[in-house]
Amino acid sequence: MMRLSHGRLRVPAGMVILGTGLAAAVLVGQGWHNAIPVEVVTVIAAVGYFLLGGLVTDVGTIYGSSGDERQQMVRLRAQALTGVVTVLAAVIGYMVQIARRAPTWPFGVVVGVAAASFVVGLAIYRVHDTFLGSPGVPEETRK
Amino acid sequence: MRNRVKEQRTQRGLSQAELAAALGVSRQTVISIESGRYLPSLPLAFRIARFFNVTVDKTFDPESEVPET
Repeated sequence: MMRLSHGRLRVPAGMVILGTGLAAAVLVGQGWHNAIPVEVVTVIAAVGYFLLGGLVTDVGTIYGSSGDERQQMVRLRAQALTGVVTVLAAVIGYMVQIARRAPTWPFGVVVGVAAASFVVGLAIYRVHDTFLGSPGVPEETRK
Repeated sequence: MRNRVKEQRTQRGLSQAELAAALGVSRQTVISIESGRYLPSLPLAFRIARFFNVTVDKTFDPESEVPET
């Protein structure tokens, strides 16, 4: 069973915008023969994400950026895990680059941005107790 | 934490889907609450209790644990 919700297009649209930006960068740097596959993969991924978001299941509501408080919590935990794994991967990449005597700054940027985001997040959400849209936030606050 | 949501729902002859629709949550969430795998937020706990016309402590018992399955 499929459904259509307002926020369902948000992530796929973001994927298309970022993917098109990547394809444009590839076009400038490597030419159209490499840029076209990037754009095709982007569109396929965005359409797949959109279709998954239409499923009336836990996974569907999470992909569709909707759902009740439990599903929001699941999404939040999945996002937190994504962040932790990304930072770990960046730290490992940083160490590998040091060992190879190769440039480390791309991995350093990822770790630095993650650390800064964590500090900013603490500052913001400590003040507001929790973020808007999360379980525990009064309905009137979310609007 | 043990709860009596399933018991109260069946007493009213409601399906999980009907209770979910009445509470504004998904059926999967009702299932998770009934099985004790998910503790609802305070607002949702109050919505559940009000729906069954009982107090929160009649629905949720903080003193008891759901047995391991």
